[in-house]
Amino acid sequence: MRRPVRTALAAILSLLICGIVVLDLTVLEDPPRPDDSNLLAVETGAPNLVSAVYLEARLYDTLFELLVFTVAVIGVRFYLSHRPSTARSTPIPESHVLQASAQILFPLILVLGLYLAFFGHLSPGGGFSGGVVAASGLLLCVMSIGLDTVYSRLSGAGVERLEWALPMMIVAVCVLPLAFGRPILSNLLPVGQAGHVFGSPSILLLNALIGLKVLIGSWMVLHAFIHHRGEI
Amino acid sequence: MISRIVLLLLLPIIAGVSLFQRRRLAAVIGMGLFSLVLAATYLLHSAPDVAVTEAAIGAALVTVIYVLAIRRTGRLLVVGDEVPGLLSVEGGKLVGVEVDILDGFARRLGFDLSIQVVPLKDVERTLLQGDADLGAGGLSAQPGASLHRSRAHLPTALVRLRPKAGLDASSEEAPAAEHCEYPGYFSDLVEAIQRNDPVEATLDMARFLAVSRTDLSRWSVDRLDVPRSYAFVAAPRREDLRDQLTAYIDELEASGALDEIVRRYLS
Repeated sequence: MRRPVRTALAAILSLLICGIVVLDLTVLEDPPRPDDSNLLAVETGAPNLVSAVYLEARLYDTLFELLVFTVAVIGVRFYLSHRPSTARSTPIPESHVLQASAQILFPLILVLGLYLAFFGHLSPGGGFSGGVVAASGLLLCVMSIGLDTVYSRLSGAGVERLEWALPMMIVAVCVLPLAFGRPILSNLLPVGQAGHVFGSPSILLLNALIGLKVLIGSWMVLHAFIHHRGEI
Repeated sequence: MISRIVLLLLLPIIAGVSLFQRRRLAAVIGMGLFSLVLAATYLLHSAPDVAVTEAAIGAALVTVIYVLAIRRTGRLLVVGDEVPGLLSVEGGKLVGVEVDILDGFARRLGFDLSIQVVPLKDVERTLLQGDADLGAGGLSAQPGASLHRSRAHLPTALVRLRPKAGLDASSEEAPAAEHCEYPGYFSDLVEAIQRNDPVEATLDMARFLAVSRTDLSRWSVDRLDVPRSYAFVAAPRREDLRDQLTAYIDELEASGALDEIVRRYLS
């Protein structure tokens, strides 16, 4: 088949699939929303049962997920640090479209990341996805103004120390109840009204810490890859 | 309901297609597409939390990291000047003996071949800077000390080209051949000769054949008695690549494929 014909067929097929999905989404029935009578939602103050489960009922599992992520970041940095740096300044992007759109999109992506992290107990999202979304915003910045500029603006070393401090802080939050004579991993902060932003302060705190941790961790992985494997 | 079925059917198709891509970049993009469709599937199955994470990590972050990782390893970057018959652009496509050899070699290694046309004088500089893996384009001279010359794939000879007007007894002595290979783009030299500019250059056979299609009555042509042959040049610290390429050319010659390629372009 000739190339233009193939391209056209692929485009038509993609449009068709996108159309079907969008049509289906518009008539999508609302996912079953937990009402106030739901025990877990009332107990934790988080209508989003997913975060209620993984940041309250199964916080223990989430801690080890964080450990996996931390080990992955350490591994990337350890194995890439031996490689020579590509040691050349990132070329100025030829595309002004990229530069202009990065200026507009970066704040929006950052806000979306913050929203996903801070409203994780109310709506879909959470610290993990919020952190990654914010990191992809940083990636867009790297493409537009260069790695070194972004790195120096983030003041590299302090950010790295924070990366190691955050897991400690999260563990501390989980162990702190011991000091008050309560079982480990239990919730110290008062539960408010379910559906309110501060209705579930402990999930909010954990989501914020995890979001920051994932943001810095993803940024460090991206930085290591761009720094040692080639310009973006 | 339809879209769930469509998307679920699409998943194994995308996975299979990206699995059987020859180019690594295409495979990585296929993986990103897979993640995107998977995210849509999660969304339709009332798992928006997972969908958001899958879209952010699978479609965006992992794709970028893979692209960065294959950027250096998945690509065979070759620089060389255009030489008709060996490496030249015809109808928007690179063709020639060296292109065929490099194409087969890259395929053997599972790399994407990327050939960049640079002037002859920039080939060694680019290699020394680490901006390319191999140099090509009718290289017959011995390269600099830290570069590695592969096995020769084609014998050649040197021809000295001088304007006839300047031909007197004092300039009879030919300078060392290395110093007068034409350093710029070969196509510029051809144009200069067509304009009858009094340029002088030492050319190898392939370049001379291309030049000799124009009227050379105002130039004196001497064949130099220097045995030469075309080869590829590998970047510093890429002895491994040189050795693999040498082995590949050996193989081509043994199977007779090399003769066939040469006959196809330089009959």
